[in-house]
Amino acid sequence: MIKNVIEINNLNLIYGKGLQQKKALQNINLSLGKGQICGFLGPNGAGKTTLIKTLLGLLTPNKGTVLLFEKKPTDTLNRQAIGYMPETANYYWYLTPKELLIFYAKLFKIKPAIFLPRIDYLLELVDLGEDKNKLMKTFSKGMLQKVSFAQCLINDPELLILDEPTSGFDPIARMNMRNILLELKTKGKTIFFSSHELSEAEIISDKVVILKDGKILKETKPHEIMNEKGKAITLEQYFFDLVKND
Amino acid sequence: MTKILILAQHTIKELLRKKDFYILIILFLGLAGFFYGESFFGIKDISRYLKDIGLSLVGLFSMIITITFSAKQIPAEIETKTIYPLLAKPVSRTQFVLGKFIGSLFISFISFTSFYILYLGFIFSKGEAASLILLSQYYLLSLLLLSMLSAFALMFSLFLTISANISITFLLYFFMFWYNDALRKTLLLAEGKITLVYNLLYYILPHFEFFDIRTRIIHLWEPLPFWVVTAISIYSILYIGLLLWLTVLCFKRKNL
Repeated sequence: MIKNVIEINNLNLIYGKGLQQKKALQNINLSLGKGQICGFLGPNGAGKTTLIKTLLGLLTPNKGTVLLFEKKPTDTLNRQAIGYMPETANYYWYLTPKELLIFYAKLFKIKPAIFLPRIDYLLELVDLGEDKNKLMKTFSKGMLQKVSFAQCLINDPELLILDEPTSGFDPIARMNMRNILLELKTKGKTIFFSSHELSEAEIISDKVVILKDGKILKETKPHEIMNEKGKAITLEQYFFDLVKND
Repeated sequence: MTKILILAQHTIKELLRKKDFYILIILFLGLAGFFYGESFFGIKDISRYLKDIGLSLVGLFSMIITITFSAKQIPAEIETKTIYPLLAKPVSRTQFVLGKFIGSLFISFISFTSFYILYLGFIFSKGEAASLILLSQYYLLSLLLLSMLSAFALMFSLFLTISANISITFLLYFFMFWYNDALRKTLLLAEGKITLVYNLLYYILPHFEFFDIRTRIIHLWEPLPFWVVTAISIYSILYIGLLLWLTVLCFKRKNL
């Protein structure tokens, strides 16, 4: 039985060398249990994307450990259970969404009998059913973001890592996505996402982590957020006060 | 292996969809015009010279396609950020590099084969004498040479921009090809304390001249002995293996 889906201990990551050096992540400690939703918040340049890239094994930390399902992020087999949605939805514009999802499904070694109906289901889910055979070069930012979300669900992952998932979405698509995430949670999926959308994070997260300048300022539950006088306040107000006063 | 082939297949699809294939068609038509347009100049009996120049053009055009396609495979994925969702899938960096290499090789082999068929059609239609064994040897050695160049371009692409990579790979080829004799005299026959270093350097450098048997084809010399072809093949396979190993090693350490 796996204790934590994500386990980060004393993580430090430095970009560059010498005078160009920048501490992107400093002493990050974090754990996330199965079936939890964790919102990762912070201003621009806080280190959110860096942390996500470290979780995926795309960046190597200078110090500390990262474990996903108690294994190193570079463990290829581990990625069989991970779905990742990048910050910017850049995909092969010369493919259709269906072709893209087929390409990824094959990399997961999913059989056509399983992936073909699943692709249709996922593209319908993100409201791209009618556009599934159109080349992505004709797509808007919001449509590409929907493709991005669909591709991260192709393997029915146990852990979803989403980097700014709702950026570029209109309010309807945003609400649709929120409902999908909550439904996935009921199925026991673990979700780790970064966002600027504080109200979004407040609604769906079991836990929020606020990051600034590569350091965790606060790790808390949204419903436990209170001001200094013990009065319940919104996550937005709390975030604003915390980041401004730090 | 399956994942490597899926990645390679994707590279080929990219070539077709992005219409990069047009370069191949343009070069092919250029070559066809060169072969069959001899009467345009009003000069008779020049097919023997065309046989010589044509073979060089077949090699050069194939090299252009091989080097340019191999050089942009990895940087293009990084630049467009498509590498992030790709490497977040159960794909190792080794599989990624090998997939890109095999995809590039396929494109390279298709190009060379079509140019070569055009060339063979030309020399046989002109009734030029040619040794089939030599022509087969040339085909094999050219594919090995192109594979080596592709592996070089792929490795350089981790450190250089696409344009710098293409220039350096071409420079390396022409330098080693034209100056191999001078290098042999300078490095291999050097005396003194650094003889060992020079000797080592000479053997480490890629010997592209091994693969060039054009003179034999043009002047109808004897084919290469079997053991020589085997030795060159083993040399190139080992060299390609080493280059790919270094590429994978560097790519695994690269922060993306």
